[in-house]
Amino acid sequence: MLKALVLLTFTLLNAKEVRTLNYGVVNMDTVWGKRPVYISFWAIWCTNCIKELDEINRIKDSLGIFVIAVNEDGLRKESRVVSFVKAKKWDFPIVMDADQSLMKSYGVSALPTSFLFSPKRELLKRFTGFASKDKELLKSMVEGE
Amino acid sequence: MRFLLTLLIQFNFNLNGDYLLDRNSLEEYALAFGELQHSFLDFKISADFLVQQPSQWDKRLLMLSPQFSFKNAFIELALLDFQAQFQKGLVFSQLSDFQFRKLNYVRGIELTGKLNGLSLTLLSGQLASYDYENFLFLLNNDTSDVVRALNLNYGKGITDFEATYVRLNRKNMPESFSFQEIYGLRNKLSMGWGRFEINLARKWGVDPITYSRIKGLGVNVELAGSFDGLDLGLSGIYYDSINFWNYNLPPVITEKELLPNAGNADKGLSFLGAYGFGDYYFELQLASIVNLRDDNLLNPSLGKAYQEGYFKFEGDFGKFHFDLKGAREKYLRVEPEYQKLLSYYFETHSKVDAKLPTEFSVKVTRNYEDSLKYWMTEFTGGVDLLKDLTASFQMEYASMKIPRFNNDNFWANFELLYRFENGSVSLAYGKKRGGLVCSGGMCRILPSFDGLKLGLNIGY
Repeated sequence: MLKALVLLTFTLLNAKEVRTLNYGVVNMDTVWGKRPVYISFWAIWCTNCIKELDEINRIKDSLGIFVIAVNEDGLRKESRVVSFVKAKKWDFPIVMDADQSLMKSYGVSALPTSFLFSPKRELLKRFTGFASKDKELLKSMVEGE
Repeated sequence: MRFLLTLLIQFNFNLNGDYLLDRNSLEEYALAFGELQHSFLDFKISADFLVQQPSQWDKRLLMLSPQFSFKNAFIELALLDFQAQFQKGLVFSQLSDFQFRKLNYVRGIELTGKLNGLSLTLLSGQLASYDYENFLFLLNNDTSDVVRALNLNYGKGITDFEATYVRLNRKNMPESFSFQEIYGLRNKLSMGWGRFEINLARKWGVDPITYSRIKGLGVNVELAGSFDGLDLGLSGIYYDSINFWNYNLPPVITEKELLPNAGNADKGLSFLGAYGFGDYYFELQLASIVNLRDDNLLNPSLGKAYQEGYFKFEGDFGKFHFDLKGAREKYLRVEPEYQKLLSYYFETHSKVDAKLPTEFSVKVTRNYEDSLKYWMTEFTGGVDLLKDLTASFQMEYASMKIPRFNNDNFWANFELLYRFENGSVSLAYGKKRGGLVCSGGMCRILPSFDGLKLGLNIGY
């Protein structure tokens, strides 16, 4: 609960609207309170990030989670990120963290790092890295909610 | 007391620590850096910190960069040390990146007003940059360079428009009269199936040495379209003297993010095709950048050029993940290290999710470097030993001793990495050439080393 309070400001948690690369402006009021939210920090050069988001893209609907992927490649590579996401057919919003302020707000210092929040914006789990067992852990946590 | 304790607990922080003992020189390097931050309603106070304590006593460094900011739906304010970037870096870029160890700050004030998709930013401050080389951060410029900037941004529906004015005054003698200005315009149109973006910059100023007038031009154009998993894009750059006293980073069009003439005289074209089908992904990039002033004998970057052909394939085959990358890279006249370098490489990275998950990659490179011709082979293997403990081994071998790698041709190291919910701790021993390393589910850029290394990485 305390961690959720700490993250409440200056992050995606309190934003009413989030400007995304591929879904325009997402109204977060339509997301919170309805389903768990999974926020994942990634970059194109991070092989393990791609593996994680491929997996998340496959299971997100069955788990009923809302996914936001925060990209850390920087605006200089924005067009490459768009091409990559379109070709991958990732079906979740991508947010460009141009000045890495989101990454710093979440205390992320290695990629991938992901956060699972309850519909009430409580932090349920932080994942540093992504191993095969994390998928099972994510499933069990979401089902426990 | 309870109030103070509550306040302290509510601080977010991330901390990276490195301790390195060089096997040959027995020199030690100890480094801790990170950020402490506290948010309350729409306010945030934070501080980047860096403590460097090497054996070389004169290279000690203690840095504290405080920041205060306020952010709501209509106003954003940043005070003290903060980062800024306009027009994707073409006109101005002072961004910090702890992960890649580049620290750049604007020390001053930035105020942004926002309404209905329109935002106006005013910026004023001095500039400071820290560089990281050979395990040491050095204060590169804590100068009296003063920046003033104005940025107008409008983004709504399919359009995203940006106009910028940046002026840099250099007050250090004997350059007291020198200044540079950049004017920029950027417009992006994004429809469901296509994107078009043009990013323009014009520079004027006074040369700090000769006091003559200088000018520059930067153009970056991108056109892309996508249909059912296939995305095709064309990009072009024309950068003539657009480098802005190292305070900008023009957009790049190559996979390797290379601008051979650093924005001084780069002209190039790039094609990017990406196609995703089922569990597979294919990408092809072709790029060529040449020097646009190869008739100027006074130009120190005479003739630098870079050509790149890059492809990537990745896919999942049951419990086996496989990716293959390959590239042909050709540098010309990249002085002083080499006059010509042509290399071809193939790299595979695979992962098997079994009872004992393993991850391994192999990279084979053929290099032509002036009169030298050699192979380089790199093998990395990792295995998840226990629940959160990973062991990895990396070996690199060159078929001959290479002058620019300290006449070395063999590197091997071993690492144990334990990851926990909020970070990781690692222990490594051996010789490493440096570069991008992905192990234990994480990717990091590591510098080269020969010895013992302890690493700590925590974020709360």
